[in-house]
Amino acid sequence: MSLDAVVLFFIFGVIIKLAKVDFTFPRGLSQSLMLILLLAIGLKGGIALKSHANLELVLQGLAVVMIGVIIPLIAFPILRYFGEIDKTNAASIAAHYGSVSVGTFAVAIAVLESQNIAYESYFPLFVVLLEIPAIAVGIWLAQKQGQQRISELMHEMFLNAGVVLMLGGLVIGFSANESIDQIMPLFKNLFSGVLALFLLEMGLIAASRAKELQQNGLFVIAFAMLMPLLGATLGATVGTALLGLSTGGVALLAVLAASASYIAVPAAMRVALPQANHSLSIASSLGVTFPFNVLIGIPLYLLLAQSLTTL
Amino acid sequence: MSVRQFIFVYFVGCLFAALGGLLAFQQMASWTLCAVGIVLISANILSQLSNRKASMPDVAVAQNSAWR
Repeated sequence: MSLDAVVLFFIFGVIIKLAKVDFTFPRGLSQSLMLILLLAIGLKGGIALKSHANLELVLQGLAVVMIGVIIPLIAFPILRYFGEIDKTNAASIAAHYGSVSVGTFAVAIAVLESQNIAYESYFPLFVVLLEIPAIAVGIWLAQKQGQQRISELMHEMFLNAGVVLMLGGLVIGFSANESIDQIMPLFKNLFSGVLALFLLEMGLIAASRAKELQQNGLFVIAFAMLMPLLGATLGATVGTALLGLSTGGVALLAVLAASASYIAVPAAMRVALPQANHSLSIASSLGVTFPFNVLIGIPLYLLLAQSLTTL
Repeated sequence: MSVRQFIFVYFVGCLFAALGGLLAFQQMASWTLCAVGIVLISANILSQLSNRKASMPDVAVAQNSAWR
């Protein structure tokens, strides 16, 4: 059985750390990779928005944003009550599950196309829309019991580097003329390569902070496999009952709701919640949820979408 | 592992095993889901047993002290 190349880069990073190889990921490169990834996701969504902008899409976008808000609010109490995980880490993990995985989305697209199942072409826009609310909700959950002033909280929610870079990319992608094609090779063609290097660093980080995962190992594994099923059920229900999407569209929305971010949210959380244990969230989203969705989840979500749309 | 974590993992394991078993006639992935559920339940119980075993000597020492 072969694995996705970007996932292998993550595993490679873990092996480098476990083998105690004398290697440190350059800090400047790490920040550059985050910058490119966040802008790339925003730009893709902006371009998709330009060619499909209408009122129905706005309403669908609002429903998708609500999914991004609801999922962290489901995940957070589970992590706090059953997992007994501290507030900052629970908020960080919850934000990861409210957001989406571009890798899982790409696999789902490939599955739908291989089975000739039609889907709405503007779905990249929903990928961007689902990235943002979860970050804001995660920061709010981490700080709602603190002493911070509302203005400071709002600043961190809407003006943290992750959200600003993605929104900036979205606005540029929407507003720019054809000249955007000249810069897209950097953000589109190199996306997978940049993602692979980013995941290499994520693997190094996850392995270096594996002790915390050992403490909550079995719980985190169970949580990381339950959340995709809860998210997919919510996504498929909204896609069928509220948005009236096609079978492929319902399956894609289920996949988006089921997946957990390992690109935008880790980048944003490292800025917004630097005290959180990022290896815990990365290990659960990338080490458990991503393979679970790819190997087990996507066929089940497609079955769910087919069942719901034929009702 | 705390009691709440044990209950949660046990619940997820049972849910996966039941859901995977129910859907198994429709999707091969469901068999995997069922297997994952069974593995979770087994690992959860084994983890709990090993924790109990590890804490046994302390109990024995405490009981001996009480006898003396």
